Amino acid sequence: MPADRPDPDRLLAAVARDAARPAGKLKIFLGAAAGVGKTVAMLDAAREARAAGRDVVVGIVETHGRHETQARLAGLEVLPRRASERVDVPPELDLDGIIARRPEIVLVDELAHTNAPGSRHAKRWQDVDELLEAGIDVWTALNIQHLESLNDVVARLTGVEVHETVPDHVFDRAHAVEVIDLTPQDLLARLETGKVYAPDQARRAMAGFFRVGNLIALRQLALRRAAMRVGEQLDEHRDREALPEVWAAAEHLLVAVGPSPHSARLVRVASRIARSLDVPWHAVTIHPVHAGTAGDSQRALEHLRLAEQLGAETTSLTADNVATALVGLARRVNATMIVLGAPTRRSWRDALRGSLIDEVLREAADIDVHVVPSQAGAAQAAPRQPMAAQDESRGLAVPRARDLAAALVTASIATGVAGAAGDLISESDVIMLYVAAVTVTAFRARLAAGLLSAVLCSLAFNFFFTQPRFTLYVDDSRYWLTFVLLGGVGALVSVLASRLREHAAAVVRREAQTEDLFRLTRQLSRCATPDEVARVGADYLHRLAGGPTAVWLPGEPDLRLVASVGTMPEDEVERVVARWTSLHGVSAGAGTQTLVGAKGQYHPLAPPGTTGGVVGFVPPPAASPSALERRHALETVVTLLREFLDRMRLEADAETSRVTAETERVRSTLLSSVSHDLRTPLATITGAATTLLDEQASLVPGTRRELLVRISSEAHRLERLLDNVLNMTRLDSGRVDPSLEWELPDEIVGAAIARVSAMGGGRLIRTAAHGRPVLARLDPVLVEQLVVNFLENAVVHAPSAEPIEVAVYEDGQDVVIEVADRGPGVPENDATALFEKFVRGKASGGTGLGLAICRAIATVHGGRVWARPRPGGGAVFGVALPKGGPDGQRALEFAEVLEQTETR
Amino acid sequence: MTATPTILIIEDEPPMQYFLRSLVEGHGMKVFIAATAKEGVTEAAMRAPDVVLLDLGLPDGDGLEVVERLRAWSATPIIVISARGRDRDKVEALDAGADDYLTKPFSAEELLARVRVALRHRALRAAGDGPVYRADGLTVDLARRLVERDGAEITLTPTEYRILEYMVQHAGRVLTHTQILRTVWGPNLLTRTHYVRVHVHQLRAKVERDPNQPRIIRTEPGVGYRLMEPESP
Repeated sequence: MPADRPDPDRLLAAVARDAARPAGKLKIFLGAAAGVGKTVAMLDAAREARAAGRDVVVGIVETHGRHETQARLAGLEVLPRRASERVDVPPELDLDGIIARRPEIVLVDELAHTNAPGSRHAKRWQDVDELLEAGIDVWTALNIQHLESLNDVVARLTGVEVHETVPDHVFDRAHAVEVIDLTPQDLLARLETGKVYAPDQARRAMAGFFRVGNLIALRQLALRRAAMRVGEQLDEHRDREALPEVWAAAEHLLVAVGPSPHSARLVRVASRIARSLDVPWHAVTIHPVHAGTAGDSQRALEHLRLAEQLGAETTSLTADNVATALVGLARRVNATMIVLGAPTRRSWRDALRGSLIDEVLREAADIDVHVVPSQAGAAQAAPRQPMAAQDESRGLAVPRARDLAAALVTASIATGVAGAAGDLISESDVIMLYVAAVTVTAFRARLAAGLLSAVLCSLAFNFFFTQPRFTLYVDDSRYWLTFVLLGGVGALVSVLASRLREHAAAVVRREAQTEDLFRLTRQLSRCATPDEVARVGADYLHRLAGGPTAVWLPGEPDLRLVASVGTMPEDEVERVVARWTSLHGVSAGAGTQTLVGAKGQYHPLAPPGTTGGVVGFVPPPAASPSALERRHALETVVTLLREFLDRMRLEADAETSRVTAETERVRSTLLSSVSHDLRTPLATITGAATTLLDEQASLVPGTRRELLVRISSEAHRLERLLDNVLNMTRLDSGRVDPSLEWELPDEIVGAAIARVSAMGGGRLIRTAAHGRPVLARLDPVLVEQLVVNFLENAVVHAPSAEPIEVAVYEDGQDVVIEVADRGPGVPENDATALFEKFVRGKASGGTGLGLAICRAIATVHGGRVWARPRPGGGAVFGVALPKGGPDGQRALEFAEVLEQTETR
Repeated sequence: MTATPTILIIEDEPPMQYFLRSLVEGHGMKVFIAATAKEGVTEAAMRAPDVVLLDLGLPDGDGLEVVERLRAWSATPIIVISARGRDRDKVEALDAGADDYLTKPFSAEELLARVRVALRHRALRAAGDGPVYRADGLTVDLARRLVERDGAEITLTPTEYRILEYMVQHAGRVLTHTQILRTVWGPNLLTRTHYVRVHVHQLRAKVERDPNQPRIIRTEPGVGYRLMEPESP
């Protein structure tokens, strides 16, 4: 394909887009998160457009009760929404109303919105599609986390799963994307002042989604996606205008390397140029369809590998015209400079057709070509391959029986046909028949068969049709030319045909590989753990390499075999090589330059300098013509695996450090909070003890005993405080593994009451009447602690004359324990704050941890806690625990167990 | 039983040693102290104490192992002392043959009560079957298989009676769920501890004055049950 024509496929894609493009244009106001001001920016733009005399209407805009948004709606035409017949369904966009009204531009907020059931489309973006189809321009707003392709990234970054998504093609179709950017600090400030959510919601939102870390990540995503969109638009524009000139928007350097040892230097030079220009670079090796040996492929591949290590992207191509392919690739990757090596020797072909450099210069009219001179002496290092090795691939070796048979059959048919026709056809027709026979044979079979067929046909023609007939004697010397031409046709056709075949085969192989790689990438991106990546990778490599494959990941104490397909050779040598690869981060084994004694080839799955996983496979034999491509593909896959594992490692590291920071924060708050509480009883104990030790102090009778009682009770208080702190840290760190047993909550409540009565100085606590006994799977020690904390809380807050009532009852699949007091009560709607750490009641002398521990214990059991005002004054604190335990086993019935277990 | 009971204390921390020694000696008993597990086993063999107080957190070995080694040849009551939060340790020690436990920190009162119960059981074992059990209005006469509450006879199911009988035989001592399960249902169902809970619930309904706030059969969450010490006649 001539290089000055745009790629037809890309043109077709552009045309298809044009044909499908509706008259309406889509403009997206893109933001990193809610509250950055998308709607406000959209409304401001709308007001400007309206002032400029354009017909702008508001289809749907959510104000969320924000004043700055509400104010901007004034003066704009707001279309009525389509009310539903059902009261409980909110009104949606009135699609038909807008289409009937036919404004120039309609504002439709929140592109990711899911329509109420019963609407025409399930999603709002489908409504927008229809409006665009109808020729109406649509302006809309979108948060980056709603974009389909970023969904998993967002979920992994922020831990929040977004369910409302917009497909990327909707985004890509946008005529304009305007990024509404706000720094995370500004956004948080807006949140705090209540501009985004109502104040009570804001606190929850800030704790969950709106953390600075999340916001930075989302903002980066939004900016990056918008930048990508601009890049795509540039490509699109170039395709449509069919501009063959390279746009120098982003410079790019392309270096062509081959098997010559000179190429290694070439790669380094290219890397230096790229670095000094600060541009990305690309290395390519172009494998001629009809030449080259396995050794050549191997060396070319090594040069590519070198380039990769130096930071290049690499490609290997198969083509018959090296110059055309090179320039074609340069245009595809937008290269502004091609780096070539000067030839080490000039051949007769260069003199005839011009060297590769001349050809490239001719074709790459607007691309700089940089020629790097060779170093003297480098050429000697490349040994010429023996002819036989080269010829093998082209089929010039000794003819095989199949070639002979093909030649014989076609020659006989031609002779038969010509003989049967007899005098009906002229001599030139006979020659044409033989030419056809030679062409057919040469086309179908190898070169040897073509030449053989030419010889056979010449002989047959000579024998049967030239005078004197039935001899191999020729009396007319003109026929010699006929024989030569027949031979020439055979050779030419078979050479052309074999080139064509190889070419086609190469294309098919390449396509299959691309397709495969694409599928692999998709599979890998679905993997959640390194082990899954390893399994997918092993499977894929096995198909590619055709032999046994295995993946090891770092484990204790040694590498851990995670996935294997087929049986990898396994002996001490293989193990050592695999371990070496893991330790040094360098490929080793068969077909590499290190530890070549092994049967398998091993590649590291972590960057050099870190001990990481290893992938190993038995490499395919190097002799086949596609070996280079296959090896390149294998390496691409290994690189891909490495990248996925790397990314997972980084994500895991980030998560760990986040958790560590959070734990650290809790711990320091805990320490600062409890140190005061610990000092008070300690001070009493120290004071009382030293008073008793003081021999000069004359103590009033009874004081001595009183002091001792103080020491004892304060020590007891200290113990309880410490218990609370230890419990909280244990529960917080997630290290609590409840030992679940089928227990009677009644019994545990009884034990808790007994414990608190002892502590609380004979306060009356009675258990309210309840129904049949319940069995529940729970940790008795933890649940007792929970109930004790509830009871202590009640004892501290309620006036001493009033009883505290405890009730245990079944509620569906839960067992509920409630403690009711006549204390000051709790706020009506937001009592959950009481269960936060360090929230203390007015009367309590506690750490503010008691109820937080209750919540943590309930959570460990898969249950929940609550506090509500008690009718008639006071508060009710309750906990509901699933009867079957956190893993939801089938609950046991008390009566059933009783009956079955009665002994005789 | 000698006139002055002897107590062996296996404990490594000097302040605790001092506290235990002064308390026990203050109540007229003879004390031997061992600071390590190894020394403890040797001392137990040499001194033949009436009660062993064993701290489970010894520096040179597993307290559980000491229980097992002592139980191999001696029936001396063992009271284990465990740190708070190590509930599993004490339950294991009890199942391995220890008689009772104390959780640090504990008061002098608690310790003396445990020691008293242990000494009484040792005496009972020497004297054969004990007298009738009486506590909080409940009377259990094992010889006549008679259970009465405030003078009125109570009818128990066979399972309830077996549980109560076992508890009375070990009154004042903690009994783990597993121990009760093994005694009543045999050795094959040792994980079904909820059987015990269900039947104890039924038993309480019959023997307690207020089953919601039991006094006679006390629950020790995560460990088992303790029957109230009998009132002295």
